[in-house]
Amino acid sequence: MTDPRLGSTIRDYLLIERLAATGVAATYRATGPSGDVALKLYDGAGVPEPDATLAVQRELHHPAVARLVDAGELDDGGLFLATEWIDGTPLSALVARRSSWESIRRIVGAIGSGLGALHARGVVHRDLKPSDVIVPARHACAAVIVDASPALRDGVAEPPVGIVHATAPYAAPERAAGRPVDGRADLYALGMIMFQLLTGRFPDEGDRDAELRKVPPVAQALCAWLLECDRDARLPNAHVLAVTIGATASELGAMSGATVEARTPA
Amino acid sequence: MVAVDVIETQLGIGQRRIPGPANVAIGRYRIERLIGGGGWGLVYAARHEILNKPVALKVLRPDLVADPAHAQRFLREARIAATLHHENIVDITDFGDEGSPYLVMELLRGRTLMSVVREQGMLPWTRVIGILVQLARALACAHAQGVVHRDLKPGNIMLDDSSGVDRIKLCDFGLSRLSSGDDRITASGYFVGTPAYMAPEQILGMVTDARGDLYALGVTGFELLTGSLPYVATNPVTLVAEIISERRAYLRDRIPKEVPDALVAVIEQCLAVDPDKRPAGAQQIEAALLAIASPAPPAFDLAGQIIGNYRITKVLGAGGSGSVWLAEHASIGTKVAVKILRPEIAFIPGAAERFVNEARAASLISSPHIARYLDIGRLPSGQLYAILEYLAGETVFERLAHDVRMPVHQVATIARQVASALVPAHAAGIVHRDLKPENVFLMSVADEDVAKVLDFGIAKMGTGSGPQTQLGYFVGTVHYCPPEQILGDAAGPAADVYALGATMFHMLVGHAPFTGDATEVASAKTVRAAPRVRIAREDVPEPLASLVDAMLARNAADRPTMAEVFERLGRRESIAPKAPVAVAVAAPAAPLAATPSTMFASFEVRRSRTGVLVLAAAAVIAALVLVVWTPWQSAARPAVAPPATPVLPPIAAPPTPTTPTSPPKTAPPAKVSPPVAHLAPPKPSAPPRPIKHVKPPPPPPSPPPAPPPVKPDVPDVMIADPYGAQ
Repeated sequence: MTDPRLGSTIRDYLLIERLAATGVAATYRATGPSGDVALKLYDGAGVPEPDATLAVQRELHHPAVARLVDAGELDDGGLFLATEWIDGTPLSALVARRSSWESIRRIVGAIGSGLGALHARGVVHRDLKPSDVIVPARHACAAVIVDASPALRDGVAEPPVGIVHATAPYAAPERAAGRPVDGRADLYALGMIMFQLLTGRFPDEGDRDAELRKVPPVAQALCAWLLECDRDARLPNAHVLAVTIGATASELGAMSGATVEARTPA
Repeated sequence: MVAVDVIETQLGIGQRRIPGPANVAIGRYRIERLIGGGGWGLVYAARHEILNKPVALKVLRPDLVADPAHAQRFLREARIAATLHHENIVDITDFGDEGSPYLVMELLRGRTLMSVVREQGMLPWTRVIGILVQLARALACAHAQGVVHRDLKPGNIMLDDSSGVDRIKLCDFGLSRLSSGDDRITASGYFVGTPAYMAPEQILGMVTDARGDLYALGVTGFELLTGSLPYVATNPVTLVAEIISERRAYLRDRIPKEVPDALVAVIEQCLAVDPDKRPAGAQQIEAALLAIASPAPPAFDLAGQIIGNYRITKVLGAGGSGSVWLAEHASIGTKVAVKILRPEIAFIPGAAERFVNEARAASLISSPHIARYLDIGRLPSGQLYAILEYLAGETVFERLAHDVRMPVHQVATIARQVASALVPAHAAGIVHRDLKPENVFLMSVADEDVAKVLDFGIAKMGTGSGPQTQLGYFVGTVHYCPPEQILGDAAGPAADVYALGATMFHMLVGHAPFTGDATEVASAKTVRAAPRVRIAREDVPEPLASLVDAMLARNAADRPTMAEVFERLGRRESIAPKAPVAVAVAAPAAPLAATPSTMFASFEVRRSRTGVLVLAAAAVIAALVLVVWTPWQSAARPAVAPPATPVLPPIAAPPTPTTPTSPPKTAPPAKVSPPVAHLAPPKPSAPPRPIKHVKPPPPPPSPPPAPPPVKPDVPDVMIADPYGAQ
C-alpha cells in the first residue's frame, strides 16, 4: 500500500519514507531545511496539545534523546513534530535477536540516561517501547530515544478517555490502577524492554523468573528490580540506574572500590 | 627502592595499565617509573631535574586527553587540593600542562589501604581507630575549606606504617568539589563514583554535601574492621539496592566482638541512611573516636616489675589511654606513680609526642603546684611510661561535690597556688587552656590544701597540626573557658585568667558563672557578662570579689594578668582576716592519708560531666617538700594594709619545688622562722617556714629573675591528657 503523502511536502519537509503508524499518527522520514528528520503527523484531532513539554523537548540537548527540531499545527488542525534523524536500527528490530549482555547493558544505560534527562525536567515519557528507540550506527550513545511525544508533565493525570498512550506490555502496573504516573513508570517500561533484549520475548505469566535465571545474575537482578510491580520497591530513579549500570561495568570493581563512570542525566 | 603504589584505584574493565615512558621529561620532571594508575590518571615516580627532588607525578591518561572535561577535572583537583594543607592530606606542589595536564605531588611511602585490606583482611580495632582519627582530621580540614572529597575509599588513602606508627594521607581529590561552588562540572558530564562507598543520597542523585564523606568514612571503617563491606549484597545491582534501602544488615554481628561498642556505634552512625542522623561533622567523629576508652582494666599485671629504680606495687587506675601504677623506690622506698601508655595508643597520631611534650612542658615550668615528672622512658615492650610524683587527695571538682561553697580563705589559698604555677607557665609561653575544677588537685598536707594543677597544657581536640582556630576546633571546657575560646579565637594567657576566675567563682558560689547545658552556656557567655560574685555570695571580701569579677571580664584585654592575680591574691585584705594562706608547704615525704584511689575513681565522673572534650586525666602523687607561705598568720588583724604595698614575694620567683634531698632554697621573702603548729610535723630538715608578718614584708631583695630566656619548643603543646590515662 502506498501512502499518498509520500513524495509530498508538508511544512518544508519532503516525505521520503513511511516508518510507522498508530491510530492517531503516522511517522515518516523526511528531508527538511536542516537535513533529515523523523516527522510525526497527528490526525486532525490534534493530539497531543502543544504544551510546555514541547518546549522542554526542544531545549533538551542530550545524546540519548533525539532533538525536537520543529513542531507546529497542520492545516487540518493536527500536530506535527520533527525530530532529529538518527541513522540506525530501531530497537524493535533488535529485540528478537539475542544481543550480548554487554551491548544490552549499554543500551539500557543509554535509554536510562535519556529518561533521566526527561525526568529531571519534569517530563515523563509514559509510552516507552522499542520502536521509540534507535540503536544508532554511529553516535555517542548506544541508544537514542527518538520519539518522546507522549510525554506529559510528571504527575499530570491521564488524558481523556479514548486516547490510549500506553502500549500494553510496557505499561507499568500502576497505570492500570489509573494513578498518575511518574518516572518510575518509564523505568518499568525500560525493564520490559530489557527483558525482551535478554530473553527475546515478553514475560509470560509466571515464567518471568525462570526466564531470567538464564541470564547473567547482574542482568537478572537489574531487570527484576526495574520490573518490580510495586513502584516503591522498583529502582527509584534514573540516577540510581546510572550508578547501577556503572557498577555493573566492573562487577568486581563495584564490590571492592573501583571508580565507575556512567552517563548521568543532564 | 621504596615501594610506592600511589593513589591507585582499581582499574575497571576496559582500562589497563599503560607502561610508563621511562626517562622522559615532563616539564621540569624526569619520569622514573610508573607506580600507579587510576580512573583517569597515571602516576609516576619522577624527579625534579634541577632540585633532584623525588615527586609523584600524575598525568591524564593519554586516551582521555582529548576530552576537555577530563582536563578540567584534573585542573580542578590541582586547584582544590592545593588549598588544603594538612598532614593527612597529600600535598600538591605543582601543576603544569605539556600537551596534557599533570600535577605534582609529594612522593608517598607505603601502600593504599585497599591493598592493605586485601593482604591482611581485617585490621585490629586499635589500629583502625588511629587510621580513622587521621581520616576524620583530613576531612575536617577539607570540609572547613568547603571541599567535599566525594570519592573517599580505601583506594584513595595511603598508609605508611614503616615507622611502626600508621600515618595516612588522603589522596585523589579528582572528584571533590567546593561544596559552596558550582555544580555544573559534574552535572553536565559523567557521573563518577565508587558505589560501594557512596552514600545513599549520592546514589539517589540528591545533593551531596560533606556528610557523604562521613558515610564513606563509615564504610571504610567497617571494611578495615572486618575486611568486608557493610553490605551483604553479592552483586553490584543488589549492592546499590541495599545501600539506598532503609534496611541495614545488623552490623554489630559482623564486627569482631573485641571491638568496643562505642566504635561500632560511631561506624553505625556514619552509615545512617538519613544524612541528618550521621555525626554532625568530622570533628565530632574524631572526638568520639578519641574518647573511646578501653572498658577493661589493664590486661597485664605489672606488679613486681622493676622500672628504673622503682618496683611496681599495685595498680592505681586505668583509663582509655593507659594505666597508672603505684611504685616504690627499690632501696629508699620513695613512692611514685608510674603512668604507662597503652601500646595501641601509639597508633593514635601524636599520642606519643603529646605524652613526651606534656612531660616536657610540666618540667619546664618549675612549680611545686604542678605534678612533677621524675622520668620518662620506654618499657622493654616499647610502651611509653612516665614516673611522676605520687599525689593523694581529691580534685576541686570532687571537693565541691561535698563542700558546695568553700571558705573564702581556702579559695584564695588554692587560687593563689594555681596562679603561682601559671605565672611561670605563661612566662614560658605555655597556656593551660583547660583550667577547671577537675584539673586542680588538692593534696591535703597537715590539714592544709596544697593545689596541683593537672592536665597542664591541654589542647585536647587539636588536629595535631595547623592552627586550631582556623579549623574551628573548640579547645577547653565550656563552663570555665573564656568567651574568646568559644568563639574560636586564640586562647592566650588571659584565657587561663578567665578560667581560674570561673573556677574561683565556682568554689566561692557553688556553681560556675554561667550554668546550663554547654550550648546555653556557650551562647550566654558570648553575649553576656558574668554575674558579679558578691551578688551570689555577699560575704566575699570586696577585693577578692572584684578580682574575680575582673578576671571574668569578657574582653581579654580587660583582665588582670596572671602575675597581677597572684599578687592581688597575696594582699592580706583580699581574704577573710583569719585565714592563713598557705602557698606552699614544706613537708618532707608527707604521709598520705587520703586514698589515692579517689583520683582515679574520678575518671568516669569527670568524663561524664564534661563530655568528649574532656578526656580526663589522672594524677598521682607524692607529697614532696613544700614551702609554706603564710603571711597572714595574725588572724585577728583587720585588713588594713594599703593595697599599694607589695606584700608578696616576687611573682616571677614563685616557690620553687624542692625535694627531700634538696631542701628548698627559696623562701618567702621575710625572714621569719617559727614553724606553724598546724603544718606538717616539723622535721629537722624542714626549711624555715615564714608565718607572720607584723609589717608588710620588704620588697624582694633582688629583681625577679627573668622568665626563661628560651621559649620551649612546645609552647602550644597538644597534650592529650597529661596523666593521661584516658
